[in-house]
Amino acid sequence: MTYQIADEPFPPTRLADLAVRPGAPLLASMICGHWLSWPWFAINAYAVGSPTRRRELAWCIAGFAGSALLGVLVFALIRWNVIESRVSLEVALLGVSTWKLAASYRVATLQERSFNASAQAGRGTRNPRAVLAVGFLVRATIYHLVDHPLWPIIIMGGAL
Amino acid sequence: MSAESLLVHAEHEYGRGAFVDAIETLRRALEADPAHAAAHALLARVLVRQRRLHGADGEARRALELAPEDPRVQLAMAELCLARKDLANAAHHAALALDDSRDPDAPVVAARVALAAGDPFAASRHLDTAIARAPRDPRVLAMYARVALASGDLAAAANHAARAIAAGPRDVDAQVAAGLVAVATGDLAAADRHVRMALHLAPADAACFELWGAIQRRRGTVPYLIWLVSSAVALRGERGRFAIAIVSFVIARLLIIVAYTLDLDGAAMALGWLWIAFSAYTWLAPELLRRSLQNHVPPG
Repeated sequence: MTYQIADEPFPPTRLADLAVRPGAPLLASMICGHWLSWPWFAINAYAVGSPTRRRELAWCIAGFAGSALLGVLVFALIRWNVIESRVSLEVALLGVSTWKLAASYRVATLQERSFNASAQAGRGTRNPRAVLAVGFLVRATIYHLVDHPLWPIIIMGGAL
Repeated sequence: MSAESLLVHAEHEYGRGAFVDAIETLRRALEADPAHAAAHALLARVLVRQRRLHGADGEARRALELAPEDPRVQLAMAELCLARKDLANAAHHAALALDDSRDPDAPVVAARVALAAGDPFAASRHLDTAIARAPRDPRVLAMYARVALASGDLAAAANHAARAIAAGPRDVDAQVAAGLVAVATGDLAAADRHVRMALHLAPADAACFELWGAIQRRRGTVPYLIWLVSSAVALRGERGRFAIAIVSFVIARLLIIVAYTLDLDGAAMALGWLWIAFSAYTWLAPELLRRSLQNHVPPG
C-alpha cells in the first residue's frame, strides 16, 4: 500500500477523464448559476480523486440547503413587512448571494489542494469551455423551469 | 531498506534540494514504519518548501502525536508556523527544537524566526551556535548573509553569501541569499542568475518570491508596483484570498444596487462583469504569478 499525504488525491477512477480545474465550476457559479456549479463540483471531487470529497459534497449540499433556508427567511421578512422597498429586498438577497459564493469558494479551495497535487503527478484535465458556454446559454431556460419564487434564489449565479 | 536508513537518505536529498526525491524516499520510509515520527517531521519540512501547507500540517501533527518531545518534530512545527507567518508559535517550537544539540537546522530556523520578528541580534546569536555545529553548512552561511544584510553589513553579507554558494551551489537558501546580496549591490544580472537557479530548485519556495520582489523593487517604480499588486493577492493564503473575494463581492453588489436605484442599468451590468474578472483574478493569481516568473526567468 502506498503512503498517502493528506493533500494527495486518491488513485484515478473512471471519472478521472472528467476532471477540470476547480476554478471552472467556481466561474460557472458566477456566470451560469449554482444549478450547474454545485453538481459540477460534486462530480469533479470524484474525478479529481479528492481526499476531502465528502466535505466538498457536504458544502455543495449546504450551499443548496442554506440558500433555500435564507430564501424562505427573505419571504418571511417580506410577509412580516420588515422588507418593504426594492433596495432592502436587494440587500437581503445580497446575504443569500454571499452565502452561495462563500460555499462555492470553500468547495473550490478544498478541491484545489488535491487538484494541485494531482497536476504535479501529471494527471490531465479537460477543457471546461464547452460546459461553461452551454451553461451560460441555457441559464435563462433553467431559471424558468420551475414556477416558484424560491427557485431562482437558490440556483441563480452570484454576480449577474 | 529500513525506515531509519531511508530517513538518512531523505535527509541527504533534502539537504541538496531534491525535494521530489525526498518525498518519495520518505513515502517508502513511512510505508515501512507508519509510526516513524522523524520521517513524518521531515516530510512536513519538505512539503513546507513546496508550499503544500495543508499536507505539511497533516504530517507535522501526526509527528507531534507520535513524539511531541522530539526536537526534529518541534523543528518541523516551527517551519510550518513560520510559513504561516505565525511568529509566536514558530518561536515557541523553535526554542524547543534547540534542545537537539547536534542539528544545525534548529538554530538556523530559530534565526529565521528572530529575523522575521525584526531581531537580527538574536538571529546572529542563534547562528553562532549553528556555525559551531556545521561550519560549512550552506544554509547556515546563507542565513548569516541575510542577517548581515539586515544589519547593513554588506561586505560581511557578500562574504557569507559567496561561501554559502561555494559550499552548496544547489542550495535554495544559498542562491536566495546571494541574490539578495546582488540586489543590494545593484548587480541585477547576477541577481537574475540566482533567482533563476533558486526557482529551478524550488519553484514554490516563498524565499524565491521574496528575492523576485527585491529585484523588481530595484528595477523601478512601475515593475515594483506591478509586483506589489500581483503578489498582494497571489502570495496570500487560502483564507486571505477567500476574504478578498467575499469582501470585493459585497462591495461590488452594493455598488450595483446603488447603480440600479439610480437607473444606471448599463453601469450595474459592467460592475457585475468587472467583479467576475477580479474574482477570477483572485483565484488565478498564484498561477499567473508563477507563469510570469517563468516567463521573466526561464528555468536555467
